[in-house]
Amino acid sequence: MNETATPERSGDLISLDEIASFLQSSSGPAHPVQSTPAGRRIRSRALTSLVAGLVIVGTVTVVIVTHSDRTRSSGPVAECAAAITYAGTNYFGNAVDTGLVKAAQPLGKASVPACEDTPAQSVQVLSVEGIAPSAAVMIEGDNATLYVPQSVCSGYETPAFLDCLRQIGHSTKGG
Amino acid sequence: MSVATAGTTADTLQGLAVRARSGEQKALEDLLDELSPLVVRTVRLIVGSGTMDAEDAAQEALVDLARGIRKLRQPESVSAWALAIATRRSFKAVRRRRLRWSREVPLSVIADSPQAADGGRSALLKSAFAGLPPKMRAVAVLRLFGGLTEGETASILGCSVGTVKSQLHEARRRLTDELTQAIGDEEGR
Repeated sequence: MNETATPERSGDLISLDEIASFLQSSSGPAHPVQSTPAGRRIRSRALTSLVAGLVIVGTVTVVIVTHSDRTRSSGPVAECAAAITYAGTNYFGNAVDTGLVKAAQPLGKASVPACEDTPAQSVQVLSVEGIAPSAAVMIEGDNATLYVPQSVCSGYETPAFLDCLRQIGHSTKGG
Repeated sequence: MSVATAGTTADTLQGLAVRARSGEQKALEDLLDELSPLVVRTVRLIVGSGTMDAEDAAQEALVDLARGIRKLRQPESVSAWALAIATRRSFKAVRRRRLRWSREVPLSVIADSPQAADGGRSALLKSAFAGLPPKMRAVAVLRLFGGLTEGETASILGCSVGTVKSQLHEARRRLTDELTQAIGDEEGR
């Protein structure tokens, strides 16, 4: 499992191992709890008839998932930073609600480091409406992530985060 | 890392999937038994444990699995396929729940209350995790509970790998903030 080549920004965040451990341990019984006798009868009947019906149902081929279970990692999971390098600066991804920001103009290419199953690649960088590229950019095909240099507007929550970025757009210098 | 495959090799699951897909009823029943823990727990973690919505969605996901086994082209990916179905059902349940109050399941039935051996940290983490947006929970569950890669997670959620990365990082940040604040509140009392 490859770690990201970009600067680490995890700091004192809770470890992925602790979250994974929590998820593994707090999952309850392995089978659904039945709601009501009526609901139970309906679902049981549906499941039974489906299982029986499958014996005579014809094959329909639709690809649902393309990757193999065998490629699944067995060790601890590493978090690959959502990071790109654009114009010599490392930008880190920040999740934003879709619709709060809008891409503007193509700016050029940025590099994305290789990590886990994702090879290194080049992506198209877009400017963000009302925000200077020195404060934040987006990448093509992803309207839910703003890429921001590490020191820019850190510590803000949305929507103050966006306001901060927009102000940098006017002053051209952020921090 | 897949929970469903604990004690069962991927090859065994694949074999069951192949046989179930060809119409062997016993294989389908065995496959559902094997996948049930993964599907049910994934749904509970995304929808929120302790609600009938989660239990209903888990039931529906299992029905979907039975109904859709013939559509499985890659039996070697049956766990990821099951996670995709569980995630889809979870999001539907979340949408339904927004429209009305959810029925609660007695905690004695969903006996997954964190152990108190860690001084309550697990309880705090559970509460903080439940407060994350559903998609953020799904990213964390698929990556850290289901053991999927970032590419697989992105494929299931219909988003980019970058979104998976940023959502997981944001989840860590929010959980850390919540834990820090809760622990600070406890110490301030």
